[in-house]
Amino acid sequence: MKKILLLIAFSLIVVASSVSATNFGNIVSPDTAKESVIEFMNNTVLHLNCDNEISLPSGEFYIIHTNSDEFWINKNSGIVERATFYSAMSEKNGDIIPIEKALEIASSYARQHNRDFENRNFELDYQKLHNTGVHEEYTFIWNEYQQDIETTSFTLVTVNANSGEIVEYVGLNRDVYISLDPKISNTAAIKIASNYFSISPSHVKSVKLRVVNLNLIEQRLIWEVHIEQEVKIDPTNELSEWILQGGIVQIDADSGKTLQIFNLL
Amino acid sequence: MIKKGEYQVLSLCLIIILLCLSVVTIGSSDIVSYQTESRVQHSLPPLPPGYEGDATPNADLKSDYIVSDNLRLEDNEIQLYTGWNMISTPLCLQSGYDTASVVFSGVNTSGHSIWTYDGEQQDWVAMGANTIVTPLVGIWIYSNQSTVISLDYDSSQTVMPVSLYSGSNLIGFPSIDSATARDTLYCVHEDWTEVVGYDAVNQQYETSIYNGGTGIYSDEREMYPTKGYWVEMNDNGTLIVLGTPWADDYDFYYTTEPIAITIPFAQTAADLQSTMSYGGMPHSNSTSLYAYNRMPYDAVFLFLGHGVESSYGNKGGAVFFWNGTDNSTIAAEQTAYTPYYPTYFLSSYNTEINDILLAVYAACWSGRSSPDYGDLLDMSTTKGVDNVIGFEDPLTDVLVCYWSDRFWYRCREGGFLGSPQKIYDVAQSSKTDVLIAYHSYGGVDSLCGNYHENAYGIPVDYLIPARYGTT
Repeated sequence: MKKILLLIAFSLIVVASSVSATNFGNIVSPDTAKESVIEFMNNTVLHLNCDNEISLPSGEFYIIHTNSDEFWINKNSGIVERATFYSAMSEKNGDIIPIEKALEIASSYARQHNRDFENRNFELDYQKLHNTGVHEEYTFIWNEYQQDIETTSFTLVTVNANSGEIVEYVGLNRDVYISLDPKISNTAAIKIASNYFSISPSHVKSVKLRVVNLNLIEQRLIWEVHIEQEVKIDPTNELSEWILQGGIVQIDADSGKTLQIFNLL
Repeated sequence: MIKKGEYQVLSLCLIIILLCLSVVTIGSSDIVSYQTESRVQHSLPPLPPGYEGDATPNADLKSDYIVSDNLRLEDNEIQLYTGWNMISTPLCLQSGYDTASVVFSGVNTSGHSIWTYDGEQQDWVAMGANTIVTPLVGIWIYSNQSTVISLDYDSSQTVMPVSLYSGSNLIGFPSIDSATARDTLYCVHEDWTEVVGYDAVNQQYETSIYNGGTGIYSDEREMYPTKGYWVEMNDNGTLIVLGTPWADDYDFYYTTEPIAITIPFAQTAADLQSTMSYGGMPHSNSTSLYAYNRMPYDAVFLFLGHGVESSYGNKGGAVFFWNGTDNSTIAAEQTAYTPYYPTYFLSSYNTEINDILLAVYAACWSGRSSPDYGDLLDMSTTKGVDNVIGFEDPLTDVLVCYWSDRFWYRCREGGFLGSPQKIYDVAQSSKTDVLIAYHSYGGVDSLCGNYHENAYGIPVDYLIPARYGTT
């Protein structure tokens, strides 16, 4: 009996240690974070200042600035996971580069700076040319998929559509440590989501499985149901204007519990 | 059986008891009736707990004392008279010298509490020793003798706005220069009805000032530094310091189908704007007319709510207001289209809104041009708004809320060494903040805008320092 108790106690200590190591250990120093930026930029003469920190469900970050750029460094891994180049946002004259060229630039940058870009199953989900009002830019987002389920890892590269300069980079690589087998069906998820709006389930625009970070230590497999319908503000009058009704409902794919509702404006 | 003589004794006892009770009742009702009578007959606000009305008026001071004139004092002093005083600090006090225990350390209150008033609860709140004495907050304090309080002002003066509530509110006067009640309360000019100060010399309320009043009740009458004032409101509002650039923020608590959603994020925006020395004023549930009438006074305008699609199915060009019962819109321009709901058009302004430094229309399709409603962004720019931001696609509330939070934060301190960032840079980088936080844009990637890097040689690309836009 004593041996069993000792074994249980030992197991608990090991588990506690591993949890502790996973979540709270290995915080790199701001100086190490600065070195990461120097390495990322391959520039040893940068004047860097660690101004701030931010904690999000996707990670804890140091925020480091130069006079013109901004970097977010993961406090656990020391990896530069965001780089924003404000000088590349300024107005540029000239023709718009073709999207193929922009994609080539973006892919090359992603491969160069995201060490896991080739190792993970990233798929290009988003490509868009957008006029911000000052300059035009292409944005590309690759999401990682496992078993056809979107994970929390993604890579973003934004390219100035005139100059071809990199405007922004984000590379978040997060391991999945939960089961990817949903316990409730998409039909059940749609039914749950429909309850939140006075809209028929026939107005579901999309439903998909995703992994989300609830916080720094919790992941969930969710059904994300997007319901949307244009409705008359005054349904009794044909002359009434319309607004959007509905939103995106995130439902725990294991328990069926609604985690969050994003209403459309 | 009770004998006849005993009846008489019992009757006498009963009469004595009734007489005693009536004396006690009348005695105790003196205080109550004094206050009730004051309120009913003179429409005066409440007096603080412990107010007995027995302080001797400062008769010796009457001859040379002008009730409304404290200017003979140094700018950093408050004169207290014997009895009750309704006061305030005109400016922010230096840290360490700003608590009630320090500020009022030299005042003998004869055991009376020092009071402020919670307008939301419509109830008195006793100040604790560590309660910070701040401008815009009125204070009732008893002093057993005339005395002068010295104030240590902070070198940095960012006076945070205060919320006023329907009913009675006890405010401070936040300036070392007097100003008319009309000007002082202009930021809530739709909602205040009556202001009254307290004459500490004579230990009685002054003659009330009424919104739109004339003669002795005129709202042209002055309000004075170091005094406190009761303000009666017929609706909730936010009081800011006179001269502070206005930042009006509109959000909505839609409670009826088909728009039953809640978007409570104007408060965060207003708080962040206030820390940048703007007068951040959140408004939940307003009519478009209310907002339209205030736009000419705005340095910053923020709308967070529904966008509109015309009955012909054309999206954009307008934003949708709801005040709890009625629907209305603000649109870019009047076209051949006749809106179903009351609509106010930016095109109807001449030069009234050209002082707006930044307008943000956080609503679905607000960045789109509509043949029915026009183009909100371009019309704003045409009318002189320096920077204007909208969104071309549908938005989701939580994510645009986060974008808004990050936007105002970054405007204040998102740059190198915590310096302010350019409005344009902030708008862009806040999009990516949303993506990293939620792994989704929620529509904020459709952000678009018109920005002025520089106008007439005056930089207009930062929100700091707080100011109005160029004309």
